[in-house]
Order: sequence, then structure tokens, then C-alpha cells
Amino acid sequence: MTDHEEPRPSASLKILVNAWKLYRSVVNSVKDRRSAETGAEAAGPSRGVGEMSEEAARAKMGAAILIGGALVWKGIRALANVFLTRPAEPGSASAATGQQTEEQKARTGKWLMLGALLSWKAGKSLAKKTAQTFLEEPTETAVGAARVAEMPAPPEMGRMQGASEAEELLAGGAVVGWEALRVSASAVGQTVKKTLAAATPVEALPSTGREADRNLDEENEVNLEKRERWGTVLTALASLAGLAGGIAFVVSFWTGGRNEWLGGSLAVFLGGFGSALVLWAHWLTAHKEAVEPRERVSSHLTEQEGAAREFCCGAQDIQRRRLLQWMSFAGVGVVGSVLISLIRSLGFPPSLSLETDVWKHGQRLMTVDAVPVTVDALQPGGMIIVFPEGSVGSEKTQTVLVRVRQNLVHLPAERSNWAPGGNLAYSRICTHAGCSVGMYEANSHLLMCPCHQSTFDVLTGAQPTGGPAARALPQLPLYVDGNGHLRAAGGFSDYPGPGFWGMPS
Amino acid sequence: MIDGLARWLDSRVRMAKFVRKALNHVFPDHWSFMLGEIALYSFVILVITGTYMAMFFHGSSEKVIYHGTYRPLDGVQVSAAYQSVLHLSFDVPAGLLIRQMHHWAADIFIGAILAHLARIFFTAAYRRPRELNWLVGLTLLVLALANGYFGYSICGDLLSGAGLRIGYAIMLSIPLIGPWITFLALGGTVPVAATVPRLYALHIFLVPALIALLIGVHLAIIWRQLHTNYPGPRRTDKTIVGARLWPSYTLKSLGLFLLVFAVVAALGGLVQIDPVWIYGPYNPVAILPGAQPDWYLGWVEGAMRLFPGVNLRLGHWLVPEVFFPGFLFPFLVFVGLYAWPFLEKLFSFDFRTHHVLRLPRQQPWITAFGCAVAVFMLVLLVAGGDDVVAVADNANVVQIRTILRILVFVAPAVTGAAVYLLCRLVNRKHPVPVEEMSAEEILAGEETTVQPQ
Repeated sequence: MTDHEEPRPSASLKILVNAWKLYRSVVNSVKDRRSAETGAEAAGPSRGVGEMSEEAARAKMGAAILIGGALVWKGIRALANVFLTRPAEPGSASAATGQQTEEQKARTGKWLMLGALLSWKAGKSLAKKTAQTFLEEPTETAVGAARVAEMPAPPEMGRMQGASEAEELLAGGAVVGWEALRVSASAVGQTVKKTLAAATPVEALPSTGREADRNLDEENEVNLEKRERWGTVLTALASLAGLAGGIAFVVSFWTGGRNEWLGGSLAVFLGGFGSALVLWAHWLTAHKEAVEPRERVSSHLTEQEGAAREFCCGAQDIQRRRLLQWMSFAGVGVVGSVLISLIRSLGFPPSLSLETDVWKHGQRLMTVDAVPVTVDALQPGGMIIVFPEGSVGSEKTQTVLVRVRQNLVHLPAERSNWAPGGNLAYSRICTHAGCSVGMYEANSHLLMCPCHQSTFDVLTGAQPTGGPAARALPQLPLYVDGNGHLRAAGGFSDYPGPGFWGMPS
Repeated sequence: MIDGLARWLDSRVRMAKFVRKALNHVFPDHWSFMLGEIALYSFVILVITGTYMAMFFHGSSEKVIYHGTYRPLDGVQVSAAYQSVLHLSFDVPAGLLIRQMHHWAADIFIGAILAHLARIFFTAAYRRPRELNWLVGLTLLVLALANGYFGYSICGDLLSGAGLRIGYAIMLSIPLIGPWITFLALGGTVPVAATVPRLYALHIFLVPALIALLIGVHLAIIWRQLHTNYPGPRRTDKTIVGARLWPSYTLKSLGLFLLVFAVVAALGGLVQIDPVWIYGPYNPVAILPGAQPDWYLGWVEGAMRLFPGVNLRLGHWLVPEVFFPGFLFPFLVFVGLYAWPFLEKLFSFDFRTHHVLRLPRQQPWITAFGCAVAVFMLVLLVAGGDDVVAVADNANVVQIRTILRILVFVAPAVTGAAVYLLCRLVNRKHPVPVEEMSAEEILAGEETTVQPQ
């Protein structure tokens, strides 16, 4: 409040003058541009001398609206300031009354300021939107208008004390004026827009060839009236079916309908409307055949060379800078290392898992129900699944135990004592593709994998006898302990499961 | 309102010119050109139904005891994934419908891609300039097959558990790198808890994103190159004949989308698929006789069943028997497919640009070869279910396998020869008229040129 004695021009007046100047400059610049363009194309359709160009008209309208919007804000703010800052005349009333009036005024001022802000926000967006109709391109017009809109309030306004009645009236009048301007501008704008749209020269566009399409209906002398009639009926029927299906779906959904009802009604719903579209296309649109020339698929040679030249110009810049090259290489390297580090946490070296022996010497054979298996638990011809004691139900240790008559067993010499009492134990994981070898045919003594029908002869150490498996099922050596329980006399004879590159033989 | 919105958009991204051109885009009309569209629309359905399912599915192998609506499995130990599938199927209204629609849409997706591939192959649409799109399309097929496998492998049922173990065995069998990449990809010796979350992430995120991206590339290339035409009047390598995008093609295509959706809904509602509660939860001890992978992997399964039990010992290194039919064979099939447009160029010595298709009978050797390969794959597909065939015929699976091992070579040879002779015969009786008119002659006097951009 230091310079509050200085003489200054009326704030509102200053804004008005500035706005008007800007408005004129914007309109003039657009006019200049337009005249330059029309001057350049002498052969083009000339306009009347006094006739205003489209752009000028649009620019004028747009600028006027935006500036009007800006004025409203300034006006309301000015008004608010009047209320906020005008001091009570000393001695005109009792101190208490004066204070009360002062508070009231301040309150009114605050509310007005709030209203001003809100109406400015609304007014600004409205004004911009309306102006946009006229200012189709972001020309200098729009930029200029936006400048008015964003123009900061002059510093005087904040300290406007003792503003004249005329200024207050002016500010208030601006509000009313703006409303009138907005309404009329919108009406005028619509008219102008329609006129302009009607006057746009469509014939200047290149032909798309649609007019030259062959009408196959006419060529084949199709009865169009009949088609129209039937097409309408069928399309309507299909749509009705679709509608009914939709309703049926909703009803059955909310009444907890069965899956068949839900799917069926959904199918009718979608199928009905789908058929309606196809019927519509088939019956109610003209059957036209378009023939068009194909453009070259490849670019012309000059275009290719042009692109290559541009690329090389840019590439030279990179080639000149060795540091940049080295940095790119280093960057790629770092990215690679980062990726490899991340991938590392996805897995671990296979040797840790693949080469673990799953059966230990002395472990008892347990059934699925964790009951120890005795040497006579099975009759010859029987089969059960067994696991090592302590890991019943585990995937990798699953083992199939079969019993055959002792004299049939025909194991290799080094396995002669692996099958006490004709009990033979083999890994249950197929050596072919890792399925569970779950089927046993006691008559032929064959274990069979249900996935790919590999068969393994239990009498000869589960050697493959048919199907795609090439390796025998690993055998588990057994012995009988003092209680008659079967125990593992060591690990499997081979690694169980499907083969891999580093699998030891 | 549309007008206003269009103007609003246009004043931001300037698109009137493009839209005008797009609305006049010419699409040839033929039923066989819809196969790719069916695949596209099935993918849309997969994304819709899949997103819905992802809100219920729990991609975890954690062991839980089931106490849900489905009484026969009450108190059984299942995986959290399996439990959430049962919850979706039995407790969520229309959940079973959405799940079955998803599975059916996946089958239709892959079926449509294969049919589309066959159409491209038998009409030689892969010739210049469309080799690029052939490669993109094949990659889409690979991704679709992989994602189909991932999808049914994460449910935690007995079938998917068996499928995972076989997939694990195949991956493990790759020489030198097999164990390493298997452990990196699956997180250990399958079944291991790490696998399902990984496959789930791939299934719902990475692979669908790649598929969506490549579909965009696929369509953009078609848009740039324009569609092919079957041979016929006014169809030459310099013209395109068909209907315009707007309105007839748009209506038909939109209708096709709804019809595909309707078929999927009907199948999802009326035809049971992948009833995991009947298979039961995965359990290392249980077995599932008569198990097959989904049909689109049946040819690999068949190859694995028919291939003799032979492995390769190289010093103390092993190339397991499952490597040859399980990995090498599909690998070579896809190498052959990827190389085909370029191989065909070498044989035919035809490096020109083609926009008019060849009818299958115009290329007897290629058609015969394609049919032979198709029959080969069909025999393998049957072999993939040889145990089911054996049960149905009350025959011995060993006998069936022997017959199929012969048939897998004889049937393609016979088919190829028969198709070749048939093509020659039909060509002699009804020669294909060749359009000799030039584009200039056809278009003479008609103002149909589109101004270059």
C-alpha cells in the first residue's frame, strides 16, 4: 500500500482498451493471412472485395467471445474488491454500526470473490469451447485470445479504494453484457457454422470411386422391392429373437438358472442380433462390386533413397562421436547383465534337484496309508504303490511293488537277491515322459504307462517291451528285516524319471 | 451427436482424410476369407471371458482341503488353483458358462487359425509380397498353441498335471540346454509349486499381449498390401475387386463377430468341456487312463506314441527317446512352415508379386503335398488317442499302434497321389480362365482412381 496516493487510470478502462487493441490486431492478422493466400492462388475462386473471409469472421467471433469472458472475470473481481477494501467513512455512524457494516461488507466481498472465481472458471471453459467452434486451428488468434483470458489483474485492482460509482457500474454492467454477448454469440455462431458448412466446396475432394461401383443387383435385375420387404421382415424377426434371448438370459441369471439355460439364451441373444446384422447387410444394402487399382506395395526408388540419405545424415552424427558409441555398447552390456541377474532368480542349476537319490538304505516300504509292507503283504499277481518311510505321498519316490512267483523272476545276475519272496519294486515314474506307470497286467507281468502305452516286463528288471520308452524302470533292491518288513537295500538302480542330457548311464 | 464427436476428434488428430479412405477400403468377399476373422473374434472373446475368470482364479499350487459346493470332493486335498476353478464353476452365477466359453473359444481360436493357414497354403496367398504376413501368422499360431497349453495346465486337475509332466519331460530332453532351460522356465522338477504361477503369468499377460500386438501387425500389413482376390473376371494383379468397408462389409463383419460369440455361448452352455471335477485334483499317485491333451497338441502326442523306443547315447551324454517326437518333430514342422514361402520360390522360380490367388487345382504338386501333410497330422492325431480307439473298437492297443505306424506313412502317400491325379483331371475338364485384361483396360473411362496421399 505504498504507492496508494499515486494517480492511476481506471483499472477497468485500462483492461477494456487493452482488450480492444488485441482484438483488432488479431482480426487484422487473420485478414492479412487470408489476403496473402488468395493473392497467391490467383486462379482460385475470387471472393467479393467487401466480403469478409471465413477465417476473419471466425476469428472475430472467437476473439470477441474470449475477450468477453475475460472481461466478466475482471468485472466481478473489481466489484468484489470494492466491497472488500472500501473503508467505512469515519464518523458517519456509530462505531458499533460501522464495524457491523464493515463485517457485512467484507463477507459480501468474500462471497462475491468466490462467485467471481467460480463464474470465471465456468465462463472461461464455456467461452473457450464456443470460441473453438470458430477457431478451428490454433492460430495466432487463439493464442492472442488466450493471452487476454490469462491476463493477470493489474496491481491496482488489489488496492482499489474509493472506486468511483461509474467504475462499479461498469463492472456490474460487464456481467450483464457478457451474458447477452454469450447468448447472442452462440446463436450467431450456430448460424455462421451452418452457413460455412453449406458453403464448403465438396466438389474439390478427389473421387473415391464409390460412384463407379457396379451395382450387381441392377445387373442381375433383382426384384428390389421384394428384397426390401423380406429383408425388413427377417431382420426384424432376428432382432426380436435376439431381444427375447437377452431377456431370457437376464431372467435365468437372476433366478439362478442352469448353465444350459444361460448359455442357450446368451447364444440366442448374440445370434439373433448377429443374424440381424448379416441379414441387413445381405438384404437391405445394395450389392455393389468395387474395382480399384492397387497402389505399388513398395516405395518409389527416389523415396527409398531419400529415406536412406536422411538416415545416413543422422548416423554420421553418431559415428563421429566415439564416446556415444562406447556408451551405447556399455549400456547394452549392462542391460544384458541386469537381465541375466534377474533370470538367475527364476531357477537353480538342475544338478541340485535331478541327481538326488530318493531312497536310502534301510528305509521301510510304506503303503499310501503309511503302513509298513511285509514280505507276504502281496499275493503273487498283486500290485501296490509304496513310498519310503517318512515321505509317503511324495512325487519322486513313488514306487510300484509287484509280487510274482519266485521261480519266474529272471533278473540279471547282479540283481539276484533284489527280489526277496518274488517282491519286485520299480520306480513308478515312466522313463519316457514322466507319467505314473499305473497299470499292471498280472498275466503277462507287464507294467503299462497310461499316457503313451509303454510296457515294461517286471520279470526281467522292467525292461521296455513295447511302446515308446527306451529305458528300463529303475529297480529298487529289497531285503527283509527281522520283523518281516520289506526295506530298501539302497537307492534306485538308475535315476528315476524321464531322461536328460547329462543323465548318467 | 456423432457428427459433433467426430468433429471434436478431428480437430485434435486430423483424421477425416484417413477415415474417408478407410470407409472406402475394398474387401474381397469370399467365405474362406472369414476364417481369419473368426480367429480374431475368438481372441476378443478369449480376452473378455479370460479377464472375467482372472478375477476368480487363484494361480497357486498351495495345498488346501476342499470344502465347497461340489460334495464328492469334500475333504479332499486339492491345489488352491483347483479350488478356485471349482468355486467359479459351481458357486459363481454363470461362472461355469464363462469358463466353458473360454475353453471353447480357445479351441475355435486355434481351429480357425489352422483353417486360415490351410486356406493361405492351398491358395498360395503366401507369395510375394505376403511372405512377411505368413511369418507373423505362423508366430501367432505358435503363441496360440503355447497359450492353450498354459491355460489348461494351470487348473490343478489330474489331466493338467499329467500334461505338465509330459511337457516337462519334453523340455528336459533337449540336448545340452534342456535341464537348464527347464529349471529356469518351470522352477524345478515338475510338479513344483513355482510352475503354476509362472504359467499363469505367461498365460494371462505376456502371451496375450504378444498375440494382440502381432494381430495388430498382421492387420496393418493386410491394410497396406490390400487383400488377395480369387481368380475371376476383372481380378488381376493390378486390381482389387470386392465390397467396400462401409457399410456392407462392416455390417457383415460385426454380424460375424456376434455369431461367433453366439456359437461359443451355445457350446459353453450346452456342451461340457474340461470338467476338472470329474478328472479330480492332481495327485501323484492317481492315474487317468485315456488321457489326451487338447486336440491341437494331439499330433505331438500321437508322434510320441508312435515313435519307436530309441534313444541316443553320445559317450556319457544322452538324447532321450522323447526328444525326437516331442521336440525335434514339431520343431522341424514349424521350421518347414516358416521356410515354406521361400522354399516354394526356389522350386517354382517365381519371384514376382502376386495378388490373384491360385486355385488348389492350379498347383497340383503343392496341393498334393499339403493334403499329404494334413493326412499325416490326422493319423498322428488319431494315434494320440489310440487307447481310446482301442477301447472303442475293443481291440488291442498294440495292434492299433502297429496299424497306425504303417498308416502314418501309407495314408499320406496315397492321399497325395490321389489328390494330384484329381487336380490334373479337374484341370483338364474345366480349365481355369486366366484374366488377361490389364488394369488400364478395365478402368478405362471410369473415374475410380484414388489420389495418392
